[in-house]
Amino acid sequence: MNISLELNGRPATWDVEPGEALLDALRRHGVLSVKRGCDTASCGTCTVLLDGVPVPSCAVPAPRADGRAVTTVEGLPDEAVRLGACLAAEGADQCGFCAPGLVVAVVAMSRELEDPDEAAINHYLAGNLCRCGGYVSQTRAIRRYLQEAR
Amino acid sequence: MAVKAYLRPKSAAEALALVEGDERAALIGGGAYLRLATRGYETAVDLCDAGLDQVRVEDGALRLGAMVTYRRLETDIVVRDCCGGLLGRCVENIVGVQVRNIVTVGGTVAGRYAFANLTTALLALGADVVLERGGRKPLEQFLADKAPARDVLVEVVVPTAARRCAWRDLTRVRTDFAVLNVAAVDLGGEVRVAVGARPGVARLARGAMQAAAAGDAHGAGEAAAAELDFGDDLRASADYRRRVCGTLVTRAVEEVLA
Repeated sequence: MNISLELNGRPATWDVEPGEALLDALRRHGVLSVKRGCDTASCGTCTVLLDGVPVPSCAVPAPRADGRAVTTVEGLPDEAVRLGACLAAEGADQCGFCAPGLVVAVVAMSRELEDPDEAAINHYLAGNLCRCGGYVSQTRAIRRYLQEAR
Repeated sequence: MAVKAYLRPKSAAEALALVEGDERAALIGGGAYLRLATRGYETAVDLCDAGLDQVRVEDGALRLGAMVTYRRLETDIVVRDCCGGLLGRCVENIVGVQVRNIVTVGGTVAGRYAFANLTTALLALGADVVLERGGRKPLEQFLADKAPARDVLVEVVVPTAARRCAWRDLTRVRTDFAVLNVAAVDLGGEVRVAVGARPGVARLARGAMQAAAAGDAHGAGEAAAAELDFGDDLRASADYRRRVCGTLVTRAVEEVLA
């Protein structure tokens, strides 16, 4: 079936399987920043924005994206560069696999929460797992990013 | 999930017409578990365009459309102002924001999931469900229905008369499903106590409710542990759950009676 969506600000029409997850459709169409982690909506590495709302793309049927806007880290280049610099400066990035989903989630958080403290950051990002265990340095980097973005 | 057609009906009535009498059609609420579905379906009927995402207060009740997400329960000012914020509190630590942006009230209730915190809270609050075909009925009755007809859950109606609400759950890690969950609600003259994740679906603890009405929080905990059924699963044993139940019910009832 065909779906029409806005991908990172540009219109796209894709042929998808009716039971296909948005994650699979994205990767099949070359959007490889969206990572397949747990594939059970638990790890956050496949996070995308659907009409501006962060969702696990592995648990969103691709046909549900028809007529809607999907944003991946490719659609957030300025934020990705600035947050990426903070992650690097704080030594928070190791394998990097969780980074695209984390960037998308942090951008969503920065738009949704006003001046979040560390507890609020940790609560908002509890669904973004990092198997390298970089949470403390990640939190430092995110606070730095939010301060610089102000 | 293997499906041959994916439909987004514009109303609950249209959705009902698509699934009624057709075992090969699957209703999709939030869709969080689609990835885990092992059986295939002919048709997926997604409720995302059916206009069921409304939150409103009407005639002394909070009406939550079936497609209202967990995140809305946390952030919507109308929901937060009702029932001491119990509905947001009981879901706020489930997995992460992303999942709570897709998981829905209707998907949880209609799925009769045994682990669901929300179902326990709704049961304690005395909520009703409204079905497109079956009409309005108490949640307790809906959960007990052993052979439910195929229907579309339209909304959940929550009385806002609750004076005090308490929530207690125990999880192995904060974002996991609960080993046991407890909600206690003082409706003024009646204290309702529900216990879920035993690991069976949420049930009212009527002995505990009687003890609570008499002001006996400790007795309520003992009664709940004695009257409910508990089971083993990978999170905890039946015996452990029974002991936890006594403690959590006592604490929840203490809070609403304080």
